[in-house]
Amino acid sequence: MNSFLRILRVEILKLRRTLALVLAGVTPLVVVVLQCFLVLHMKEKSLAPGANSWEAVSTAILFWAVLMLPLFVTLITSLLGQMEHNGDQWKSLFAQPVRRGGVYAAKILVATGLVLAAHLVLACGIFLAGAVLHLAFPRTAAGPIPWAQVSLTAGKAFLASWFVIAVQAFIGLRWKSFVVAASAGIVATITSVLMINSDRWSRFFPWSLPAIAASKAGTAPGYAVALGIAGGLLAALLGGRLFVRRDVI
Amino acid sequence: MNGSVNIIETRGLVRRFGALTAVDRIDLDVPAGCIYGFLGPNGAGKTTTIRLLLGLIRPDAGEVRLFGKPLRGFRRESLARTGSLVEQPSLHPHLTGRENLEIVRILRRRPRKSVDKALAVVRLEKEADRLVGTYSLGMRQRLGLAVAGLGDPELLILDEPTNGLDPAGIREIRLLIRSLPGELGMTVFLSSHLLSEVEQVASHAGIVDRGRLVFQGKMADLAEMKGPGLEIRARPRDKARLLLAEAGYESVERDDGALLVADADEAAAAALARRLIEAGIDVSHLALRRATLEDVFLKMTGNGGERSSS
Ligand SMILES: Nc1ncnc2c1ncn2[C@@H]1O[C@H](COP(=O)(O)OP(=O)(O)OP(=O)(O)O)[C@@H](O)[C@H]1O
Ligand SMILES: [Mg+2]
Repeated sequence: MNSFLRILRVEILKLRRTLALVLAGVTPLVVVVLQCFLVLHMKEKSLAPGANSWEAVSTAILFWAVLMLPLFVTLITSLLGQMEHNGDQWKSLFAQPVRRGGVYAAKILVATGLVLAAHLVLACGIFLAGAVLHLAFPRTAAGPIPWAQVSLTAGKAFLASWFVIAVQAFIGLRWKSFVVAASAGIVATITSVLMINSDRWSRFFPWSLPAIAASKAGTAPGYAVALGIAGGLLAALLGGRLFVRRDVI
Repeated sequence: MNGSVNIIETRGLVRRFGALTAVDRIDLDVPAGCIYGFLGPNGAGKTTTIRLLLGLIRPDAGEVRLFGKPLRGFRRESLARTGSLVEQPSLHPHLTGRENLEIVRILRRRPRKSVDKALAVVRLEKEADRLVGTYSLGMRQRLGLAVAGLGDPELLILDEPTNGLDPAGIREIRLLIRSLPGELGMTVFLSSHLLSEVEQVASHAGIVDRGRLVFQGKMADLAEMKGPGLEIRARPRDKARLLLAEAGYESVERDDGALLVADADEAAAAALARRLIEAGIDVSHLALRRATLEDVFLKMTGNGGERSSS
């Protein structure tokens, strides 16, 4: 087996009994359930005769992208970092015949995989919740189910989140204290929410990109996806370079 | 194995932390198939040296060679042949003992059965499937040793390997370490701040003090350096030391308060006794005796050797 695959296999093994998978399942579902409550609250309008229940629930992607996604990324990247910081695992890991850059890349790949899993759960949750609402309110339309639109929007939010993943992964792996990673993630997420209506600034802010990608306005989503991917790759490379040069004390 | 090959070799190794030079021009020569005791008081630079040997930190000057190859450029190749334990064992508490070993097994490309073997060697078979978070200190230390020895590496680098073990455990690990060069042709490099811990297993020794290597050679050569010595208990102690110094005898103070004077013969003992008493110092004990290795160590490391253990 290739040495990078070994490192990746070890990273996945280390996720056993951690909250990573639970978080990837629960956080998107929380957003979908909240969106269902919102839909029920305004049921006269959103579940009116002939309305599409799936479309009503699909706004959940935007909520997810604005708030929950960046927080989720903060949590799982710190989890991947804390796992090594606690009990000084780095020294033991880097005394093995591994490339440090390989370990860094594997961490980012695992984080990205978890974020992808969360988006799959999100999309499935929306399809399921839409169906449940339709069955509960037969007056709504039986379709069409917006398969493509929901998958595409969730996919764009995922791709646009690469930048945040790379930045938060660097913070989580670089600093031993959980508080550093958590504060960075929370402050940046709140900042992003506050300036969501200011096109000028949020366009360049990594934490705003998933929300822009998930919105429906003009060409912005495509741009956010492109910047998310490019920024993510660049930040991962840069972060990796800084990371491998550090002393392992 | 070829006895003339140095498995570990450093030349002019220097590492600073700010103004402090933790490792100061250290030249290590660790021949193949030996057990090398790396000794020094707390803070002498043992762990820092080991981190340099493993490429965890970079030297400010000098070079490390493992298996005859520079660590720079051959790091992964050399580490694949080296097992290590640095300070406290790094273990994942949310994984079982077996899973922790499995991680290392995968990274080192060892066969599946090497995990069972490593568990058996440190006698952790029964606890293998428990979460490491529930392990006792000694069990963790054993697992750390199992991680280091997994897959029988050619070189074993152990930093204070008997930390946290009970006397029976220490004995057991000592016997195990002693058997490694013969049975598996391993080279073992182990650090300790207690000479007594290493004296019975090591064939070679290096003594480091405040970053400098003050002795390196065969354990037997170190033992040769034991001359006759004088052990004195006197009060007030400071005054006694001052007087001894005036008479031209350097003394070191042991943990229990006794003063040790190296290289003092019978005549000197009598003369010193008279001087101390005439100066009004209470002498409760004065004995000529053969110095122990511990005395040699104490002398070389300027009284630091028996500071409270970490
Ligand atoms: N990361 C660091 N930053 C600053 N100083 C350090 C660092 N690591 C070690 N030192 C200093 O370097 C010196 C040597 O430390 P080292 O840990 O190598 O000693 P040691 O011989 O292993 O001691 P001990 O027996 O207590 O384990 C000490 O003075 C220590 O304070
Ligand atoms: Mg140490």
